[in-house]
Amino acid sequence: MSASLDRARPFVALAGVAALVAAAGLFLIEQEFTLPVRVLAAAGVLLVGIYVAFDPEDVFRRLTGQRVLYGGNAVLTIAAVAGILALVNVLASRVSQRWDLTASGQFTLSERTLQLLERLEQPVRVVGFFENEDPSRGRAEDLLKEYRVRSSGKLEYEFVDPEIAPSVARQLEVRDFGTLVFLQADRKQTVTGVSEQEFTTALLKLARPERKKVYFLQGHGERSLEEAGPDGYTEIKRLLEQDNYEVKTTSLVTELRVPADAAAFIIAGPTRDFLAEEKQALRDYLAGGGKLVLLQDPRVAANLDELFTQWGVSVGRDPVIDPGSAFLGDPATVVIQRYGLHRITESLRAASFFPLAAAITLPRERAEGVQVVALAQSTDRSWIETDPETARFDEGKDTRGPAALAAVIEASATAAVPPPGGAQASAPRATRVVIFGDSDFIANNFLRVPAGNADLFLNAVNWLAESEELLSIRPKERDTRQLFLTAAQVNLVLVTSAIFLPLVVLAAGAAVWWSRR
Amino acid sequence: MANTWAIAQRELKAYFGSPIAYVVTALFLVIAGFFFWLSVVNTREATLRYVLGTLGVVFLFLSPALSMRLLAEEQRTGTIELLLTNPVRDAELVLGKYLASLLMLLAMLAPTLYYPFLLSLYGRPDQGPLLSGYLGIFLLGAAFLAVGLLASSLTQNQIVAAVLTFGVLLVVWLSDAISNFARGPVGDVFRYLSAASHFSDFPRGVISSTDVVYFVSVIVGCLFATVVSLQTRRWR
Repeated sequence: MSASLDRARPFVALAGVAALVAAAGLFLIEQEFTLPVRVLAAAGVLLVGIYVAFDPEDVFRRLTGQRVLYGGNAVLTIAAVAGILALVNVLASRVSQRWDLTASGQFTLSERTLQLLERLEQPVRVVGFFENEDPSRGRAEDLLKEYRVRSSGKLEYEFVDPEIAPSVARQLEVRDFGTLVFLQADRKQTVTGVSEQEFTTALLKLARPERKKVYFLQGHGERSLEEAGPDGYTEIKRLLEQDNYEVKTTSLVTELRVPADAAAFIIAGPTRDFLAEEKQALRDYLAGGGKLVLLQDPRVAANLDELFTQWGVSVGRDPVIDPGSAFLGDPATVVIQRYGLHRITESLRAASFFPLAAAITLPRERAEGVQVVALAQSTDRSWIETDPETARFDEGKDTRGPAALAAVIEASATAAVPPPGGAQASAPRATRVVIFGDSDFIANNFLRVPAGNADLFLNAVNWLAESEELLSIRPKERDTRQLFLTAAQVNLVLVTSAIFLPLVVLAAGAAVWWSRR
Repeated sequence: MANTWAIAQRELKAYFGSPIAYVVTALFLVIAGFFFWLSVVNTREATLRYVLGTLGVVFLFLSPALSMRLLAEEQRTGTIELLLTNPVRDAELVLGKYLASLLMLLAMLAPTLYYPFLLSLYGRPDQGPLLSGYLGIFLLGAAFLAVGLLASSLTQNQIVAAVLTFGVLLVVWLSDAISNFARGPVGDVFRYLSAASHFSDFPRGVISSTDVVYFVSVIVGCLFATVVSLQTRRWR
């Protein structure tokens, strides 16, 4: 054997092993025997074969030498330990426990959501369309991460920047930033706000094969769902259908009863008064755990107050004038920028406005088992104007604000009426009423203005329609803890953190070094 | 047990006796302080969420420097022979060195407690996420140092140890991105290996048992491998 060949042998072996390792690596990545894998494997086997063939005895001696045995033993031990640790990790990821240490329980999902996520039958994909700097993107991601972990990966999410990939946005019919689309099988549900309430509602609707029905009452001059003009409700009807509800109309005069399959019953802007039989039908509906939305304008003949006196709530006749929060200078159109704490409003970011709204009187004391919450209020500078001619505060006649322009009543049902669908009557159902002191705010021409009007109304309908399912979700207050610093204090932070503190450490080092000299 | 502590003390004396420790810590504090200031200016939030993530990346670069001399130097100068003679057992040596490096880590992190102090002066920070955030960064640093200790035991050259550590840590940190290229179960393994994804919950205020198990596994695995590595040294 010539000397040069002898020296080349180790490299042949090395090259052969390297080729085999590369082949194995490629196979792991590609998951199939592609051509490069085969070529590398063949080359590796060939090279190693040549190495062995040149001096088989030497190879044998090397393989069974003392060092190799000890080394092999070491490798095996480490491999065994690594295997055990890997197993432990696999087990740990199956039975994972999570502890939410935040004060507001931001990362704690409700029982109902956890149930839903555990029982997801088909995988769900969520696509979020946010601008990069939007802070709600972070909140959405936090929430979705919890959803993903709790669903054991059956729910996946991704964020798409609609400016970089507009085709995806178009394909999913997304028009605004801050929208998320939930997809399961061939169904999709669009969500415009970030909250557990909205996300879980979307999951519920996806899991449900048939759409829930929402009824609008007719016969008292209410808004028309077919009217496409400025005062009509065709747009809100379209939005409700887009939100996976079936929208129907009904009359209490012909039907004498609220339809049993109504997930929510909406009375939108009645102007004429109701017959006694109609009021009785409504009273029965509420007593049996009804879900009612009333949009009642000021200065109309319709009066349904007798339905709500049991809870101490009534809708005023006169409009609220609020110069403290006027829409484009018109104090009769009140802008709502801050909402009351409730699941309906928790995800709302945009302000909404009510053109000429009535004030809703709320009870002074809390009654047992009844919860009344003001969703929207006018400012301290507002008042209830009793004079139809002028908009000026008249001492003694007009009442000072703030006044509630939208409110929610939650009470337990008083009558044992079986729930719709003929299902067994279970635990006492809840009666839920949402009252808006205005019906204009979701009319066609006002929906054209970009504001939170539609979302406010849709959230209310969703909350009513899904309320039996989503009882356990608590609204979470936005818990961003602000820092209050002056510019000088900001500089102080920089100087002490990035300059002073390191200098202290260096000084300590210098002291040590000095003492060693 | 006493041996372990003696080894740790010896190591710590050497560490704190040299100026390197203070320079590295000061450098760390400059970078950390700067990022803290940035997060205060940009978000005005009383939280360390954003800072702790960047600290993780800083550790990626600094911990090889901290751990490289733990065993490599001893092996080069031959003092390791003295150490490995009875009655010091291999495991005691490894644990002693590791304990020392953990204390070094704590010494480096301790001054950063100044940041939550500042936050509480100017706001009302949420305590829970602060606690879990520090737990997370400690576990992350501890895992990095364990990897560094293992690398340090494999070579006599400190620089090689540092580079090896850095390489491994980089792969582990970026494992998430690598997983995009691998399909199937291999991709899942890579995604699980990512230290960044196991760390990300801690600063938010969530402690997940899976993440804790992950870091502890890395530490246990590396320490065990280090002991084995020292044992093979005998006949190397």
